[in-house]
Amino acid sequence: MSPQLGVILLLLAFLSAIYALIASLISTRKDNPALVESARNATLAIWPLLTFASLLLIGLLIRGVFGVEYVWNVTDLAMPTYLKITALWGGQAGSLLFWSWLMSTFAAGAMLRNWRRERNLMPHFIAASMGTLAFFILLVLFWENPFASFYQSPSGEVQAYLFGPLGALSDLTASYIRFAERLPGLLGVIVGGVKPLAAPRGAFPVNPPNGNGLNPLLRHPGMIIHPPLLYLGFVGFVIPYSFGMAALATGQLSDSWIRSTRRWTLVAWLFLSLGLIMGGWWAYDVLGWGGYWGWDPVENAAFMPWLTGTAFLHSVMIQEKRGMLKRWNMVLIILTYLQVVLGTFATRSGFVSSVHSFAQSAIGPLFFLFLVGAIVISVSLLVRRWEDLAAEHQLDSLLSRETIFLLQNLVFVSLNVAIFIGTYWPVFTELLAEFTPSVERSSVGPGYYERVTAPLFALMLLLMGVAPLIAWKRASLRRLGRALLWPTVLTLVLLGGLFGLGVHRPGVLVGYGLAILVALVTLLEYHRGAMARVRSHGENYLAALRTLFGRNRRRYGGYMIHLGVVIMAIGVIASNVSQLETQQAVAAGQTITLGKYVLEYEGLERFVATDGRSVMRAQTVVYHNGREVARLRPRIDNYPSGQPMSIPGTYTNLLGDDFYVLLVSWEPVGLSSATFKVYYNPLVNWIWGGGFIFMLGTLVAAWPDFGEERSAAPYPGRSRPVPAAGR
Amino acid sequence: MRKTGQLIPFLLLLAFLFAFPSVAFAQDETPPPDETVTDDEVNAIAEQLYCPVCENVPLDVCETQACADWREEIRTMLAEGRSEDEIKTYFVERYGRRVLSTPETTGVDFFLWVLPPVGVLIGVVVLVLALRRMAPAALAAPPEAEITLEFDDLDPEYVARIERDLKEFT
Repeated sequence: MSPQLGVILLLLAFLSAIYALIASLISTRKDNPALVESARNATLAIWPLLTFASLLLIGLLIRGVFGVEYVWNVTDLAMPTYLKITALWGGQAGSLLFWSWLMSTFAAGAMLRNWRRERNLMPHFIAASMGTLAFFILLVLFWENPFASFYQSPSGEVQAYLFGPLGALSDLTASYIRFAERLPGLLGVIVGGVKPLAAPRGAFPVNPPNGNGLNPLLRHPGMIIHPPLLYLGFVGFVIPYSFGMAALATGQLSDSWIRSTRRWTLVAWLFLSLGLIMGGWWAYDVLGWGGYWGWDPVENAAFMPWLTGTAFLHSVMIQEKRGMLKRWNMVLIILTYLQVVLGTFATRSGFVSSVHSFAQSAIGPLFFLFLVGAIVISVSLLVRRWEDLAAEHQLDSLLSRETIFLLQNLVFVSLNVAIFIGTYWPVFTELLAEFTPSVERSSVGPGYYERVTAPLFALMLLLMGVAPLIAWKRASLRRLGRALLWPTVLTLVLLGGLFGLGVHRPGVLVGYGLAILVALVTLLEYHRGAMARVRSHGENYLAALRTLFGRNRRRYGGYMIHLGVVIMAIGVIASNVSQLETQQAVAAGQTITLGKYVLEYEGLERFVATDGRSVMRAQTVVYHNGREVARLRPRIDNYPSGQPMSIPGTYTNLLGDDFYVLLVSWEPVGLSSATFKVYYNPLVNWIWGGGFIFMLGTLVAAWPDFGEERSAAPYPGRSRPVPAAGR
Repeated sequence: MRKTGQLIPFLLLLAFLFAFPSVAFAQDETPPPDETVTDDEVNAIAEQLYCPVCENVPLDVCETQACADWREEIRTMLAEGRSEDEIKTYFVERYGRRVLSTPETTGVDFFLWVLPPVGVLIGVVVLVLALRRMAPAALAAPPEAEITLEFDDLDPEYVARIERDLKEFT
């Protein structure tokens, strides 16, 4: 099928989104149920249109229709089929289409699921979500169209156009572009960003025999699932935001929208979290610097909405239970949404240039305008309803779960602010340098982030440890002290053991101590809950644990997430603080010693793989305490296009430590010697393991329970039953 | 006896070194040949620098030829006996402040370091003000008074009965 069909599908989807936006807005003025349903149908129609467009693009990718610019850009004949399919999000235009498709899926799903329950919010929900979606389809359609195809003009120029020569129309678009190019400044960029829609008269289609191929860095399982997860997370947060905006616009400010979107938010959050973890795994496995998180601006751009999203997930509980913090929750979801847009913008426009900015394009100013528009609309709605969002209750005590959640919010927002400043500092100083000659662009690397965020992360762990022990409304210090006594004693004993093992730095001990404390407190909470059931219902211990999860999945799933975070935290601390590394050049038969490990270099081999890359591979043997434990073959792949790629060899021991070997360079003459960079990353695999537990916990908390609708109705007895369970 | 036996050669060596100070501190005067600078010493400095060409890639892991050359430059400078700070300053003078991975605390970058703590402080103030508005009663009452209301002090049987009754009720 022809790529032009894709263009038409996109155009129809765009028109549907615009229609849904306008119809839903008009329906709010003149209470017109038929118009709302019409807007709903338009919203639903977008999904099959974008699904069809995406499938069409996948078909073009699989068949290798290299006349299509996007297909030519991201695939070649040698690539396996699964990579051709995932090349859908391997480049700018395809990822934006994929983003839009996910967005349409979420919007349609959330709308159908809440159509009856939240009928009054629907028109504005449609307006907010379709406004966002229309913007993204607009980008796909006119700025980054994956269906644009190559045409050669009579004068010999080859360029990509949406349509073939259409006679007078193509002359018209060409003169429009010439007009746009003469417009001043931003206006010119915005209007002139549109490429000519149709090829000039007399042009004919061009079909290159082979494509460029996917960026080698992206040919990795982690990278194949990392972007979709991240996009799902990004897109998912548009749902609670749209509901929030609808609540503000209609003035129906009860917390029912929060209940209706709770699972959507949790699912979005899960995907975003997994996207971040997958990104780390990919970086660790592919980028070959022995680390997994480099505080790269694009990583930060995805991490920042996660921070406000996490704060939101916690503080909405206060609104649900106590009718407080309504304003603050609105602020948090607006911030999350804006950071999602900003994150996509920063990633996609190359605004903050970094290793991730494979794709740069002229969509920056448009994103900027959209962002400004979103800020203006959100803030003005919030200001209009400010008084209506007053709290229904007061805090009963300063020592209560509510206060801890507020502190948690403070920590997360502080992290967000610190990371925001660091991320945009280089751009800021670069701008400043334009006006003041004494200023130059600065870089902000891990050294800054580690120093600034470490105390905040420590505080976060402390709050995670204490929060489960503090009751809603009112807690007592005595109770808290009693509940903390044994975990603290045990933590101190374990810290003593760590000290004996050679961990002496106070900051590091504090980090481990807090992590251990959280783990113990959380496990103890499970134990106490289960014991209470064993006593009261006579269940056996395991059955009691199971019912515990069934009864209050949100709480016990949440604790499981905390356990996952703790395990990840231990992995992060250990692999940062106790990492060993060395780089040495060795001849065949020589060894490199690092800690208790010895690496013996045997030799090099060079060969050409089936997909055309030339591979230089080293044979090495790893010994631990004199015993052979692994044979590793780190290698460097050289793709015909693109820069070389270093694939590490990794040996993982039972504790989860990695011995990680990179081939750095070799003696070109006779391959007699090679240089290796060797890392010992203690407990680094705890990060991935903790991530898995984190995921399970979120699934426990978010799993749909169709018999549970009653929980949507607030009832006063919801506060925790722990006083009885705790005995 | 065995211990003193081992000590004697050591003391002799020490005496020898003190007798000929120029031998002990020779390294400071004549630069050793290139090979004595290890890759690890080079990387220790390179990892604090960013590749001046590729954005946000630490110099020690950058795979481009330019960066390999820059690492060799560090090696040469180390071999000449230049200090870490001298080498970093050299790179900053040549390629600008952007080569420093961790910004200095001077000039505009001072604010980079100061703003986050200031932000946290502002957050704390806002939180305290908010708490005052949200919990006037709790702040006014003496903190000890609330403890008497705790369930802890009640008979567990009694609490269980209330819970049961409540459950039947709802």
